[in-house]
Amino acid sequence: MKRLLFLLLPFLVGCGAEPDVNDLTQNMLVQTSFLDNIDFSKYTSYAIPPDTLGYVSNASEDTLVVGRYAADVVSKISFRMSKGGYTLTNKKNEPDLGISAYVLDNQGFYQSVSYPNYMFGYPGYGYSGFYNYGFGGFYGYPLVQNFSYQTGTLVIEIIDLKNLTPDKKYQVVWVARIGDLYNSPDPLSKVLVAVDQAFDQSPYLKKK
Amino acid sequence: MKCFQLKSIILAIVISLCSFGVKAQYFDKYYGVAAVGSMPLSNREFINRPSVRGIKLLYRELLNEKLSAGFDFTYSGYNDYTEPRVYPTGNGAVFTDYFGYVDQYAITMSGEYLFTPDKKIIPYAGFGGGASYSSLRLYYNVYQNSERKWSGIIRPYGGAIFRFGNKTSWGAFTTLSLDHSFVKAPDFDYKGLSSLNLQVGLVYLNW
Repeated sequence: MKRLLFLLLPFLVGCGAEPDVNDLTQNMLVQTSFLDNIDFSKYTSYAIPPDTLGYVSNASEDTLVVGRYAADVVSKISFRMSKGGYTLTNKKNEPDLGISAYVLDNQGFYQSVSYPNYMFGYPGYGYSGFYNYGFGGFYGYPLVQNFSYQTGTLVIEIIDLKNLTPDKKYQVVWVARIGDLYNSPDPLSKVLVAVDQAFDQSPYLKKK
Repeated sequence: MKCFQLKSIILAIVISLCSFGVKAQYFDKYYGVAAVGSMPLSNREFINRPSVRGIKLLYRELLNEKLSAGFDFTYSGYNDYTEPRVYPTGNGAVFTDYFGYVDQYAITMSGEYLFTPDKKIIPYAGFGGGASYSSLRLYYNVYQNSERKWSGIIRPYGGAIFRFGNKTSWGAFTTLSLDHSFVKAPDFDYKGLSSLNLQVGLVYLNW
């Protein structure tokens, strides 16, 4: 009996502990990537759908997010673009850049997006065609590979509308991924802080 | 007050010296269980915080009057928190804070030299080697990366057994060991885990 107790003791001391979810979700993860060999100072104007975010879900037919959340996020993106020296205009005026911001909900397929040279599209929202992603993986930790189900990610893409690829495709020249949108306390204020962080860690994203 | 402190110290020294002089009954095997405190000495960028989440079980048999050999099972759990910062990547950046966790289990064969096995205080020095299983986990927001690895481990150590009395089989023991496991986890930039471990526990001497 004494020996049995000795054998069981290791399993009674809290092996495999995990951090508390509240501690984990105090800061949203912000990942940004840019396409190599892009001079962001050559662009002048941009367009973004007003007060609206796209919505891509494998659990819902909805395609848009509206209301205060969407309006505040779009407003924050516009503010940071303007701060970077870009001028907001509408699509009819043929802007240099298009901004596509959307929420990915419960999307298992999103897991592979950080792999190099991966191509995909989101039918039903944003600009037509698919975007050629040229950004690579990560080096060192943390590695962002395991985007799991049951999460929400805000994706902000800046698309070059001026220069098409040789096969007539639009290119995403910058992308930010912010998550998790659902499990963080006070998600609206956290996501606005995270949008700021995305631009802060991309100092090259400005017009001269 | 100072005189009282001096007397206490002298009394403690006298008691200790008397204890060394007491002959104790020989034993042929012993079992032990101990709490383990660990201080990581390598990969401190990932985990730098000392751990008190550990346990050790040991079994020894005397090969002769002064040499014993047997098995150890140890568990040490480490965790640490790293404040949010920006990590540059090849063509971008990641901003996050993260929680690092390492759970390490080890089974080793150990042999030790008992300097005074017939005394009430039995200092010893030994060496162990065996296998360790490490679980490394990185939590950031709701995301997680993990790796599980088997590797070798070596462990030089020294310590002492303190017998509670001549007629009891029970005693306490303390050990200071320098563990080094050869675990490698490239995704975590993790190349071996060295740690300084202090073990304090109970021992049962069987004769």
